[in-house]
Amino acid sequence: MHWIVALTTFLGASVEWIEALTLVLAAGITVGWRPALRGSAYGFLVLGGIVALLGVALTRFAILTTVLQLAVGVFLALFGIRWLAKATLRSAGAIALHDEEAAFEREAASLRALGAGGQVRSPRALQEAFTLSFQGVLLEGLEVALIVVAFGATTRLHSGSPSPLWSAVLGALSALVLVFVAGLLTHKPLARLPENTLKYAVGLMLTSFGVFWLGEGIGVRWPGQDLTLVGLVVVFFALSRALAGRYGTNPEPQEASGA
Amino acid sequence: MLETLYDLVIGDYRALLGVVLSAGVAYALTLLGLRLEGGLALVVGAGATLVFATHARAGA
Repeated sequence: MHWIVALTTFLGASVEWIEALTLVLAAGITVGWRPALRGSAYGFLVLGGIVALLGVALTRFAILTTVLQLAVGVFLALFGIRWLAKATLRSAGAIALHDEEAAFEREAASLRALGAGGQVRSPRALQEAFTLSFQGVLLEGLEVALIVVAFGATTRLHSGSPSPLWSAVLGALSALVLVFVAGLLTHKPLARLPENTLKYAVGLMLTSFGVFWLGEGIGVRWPGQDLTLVGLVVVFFALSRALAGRYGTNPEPQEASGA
Repeated sequence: MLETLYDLVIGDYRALLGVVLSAGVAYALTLLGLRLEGGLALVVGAGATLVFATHARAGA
């Protein structure tokens, strides 16, 4: 078991599943559980297909190991830097934190406007509830799927040791079960979880993994081998704190866009 | 859908350029036998890309 891979995927997936759950709950509570759960089920089906297709393609086809290392490294670094930049600015107060309750209210209000408020739901509201759940699960889950596939692609780089693919899948699935069970039990968006802190940690880990594997693909020598990852986390954390200090003086926080 | 995938995978082509450029410099250094310095170039490049991405998002 690759614990660091499982932990990174678990934390990253938690953030995305929390956002997907908010949309499914908005559809389920406002319109009805049947279209919401049907939309989610279709979303998960499509996601499973994407992971299976990309996973098989990357692990079975004769792609040069070096090319694979470079591609995975570039992707993870880009992904991590994007998350880290956003989390840094949110921690500095330069952009608004992602508010799950506000997102829930916004989606619920737009569904109510389509005729979801009374006893009889309009066909348009039912269709919209299905679409909202489907898109929520698919789009938020796509980021999780890409992370899982990227870690899975490194399976060929770890011959003789347990596959990182299963550690990544386990991390993503356990986050899914935990978040959705908690959400369906409480019937509320999980607004109290420190979403930005999770995103910050995952951004740091993905950036460090990305740079590390990119270096491995290029043939650089990392002092301390795998321990370099810890050093990379420290370096990027220090840099992000310096950036938070630089942008923390913005007097007018803006509304955050997207996740 | 393609736009969504582009946003998910690449996000900002300038960030991609930053990572790829630093990888190129690192590769050139390893070809010269400077494998440790290649790693350093990668870290500096990724750091610079992070600074750029943060600045770009703060100004957006």
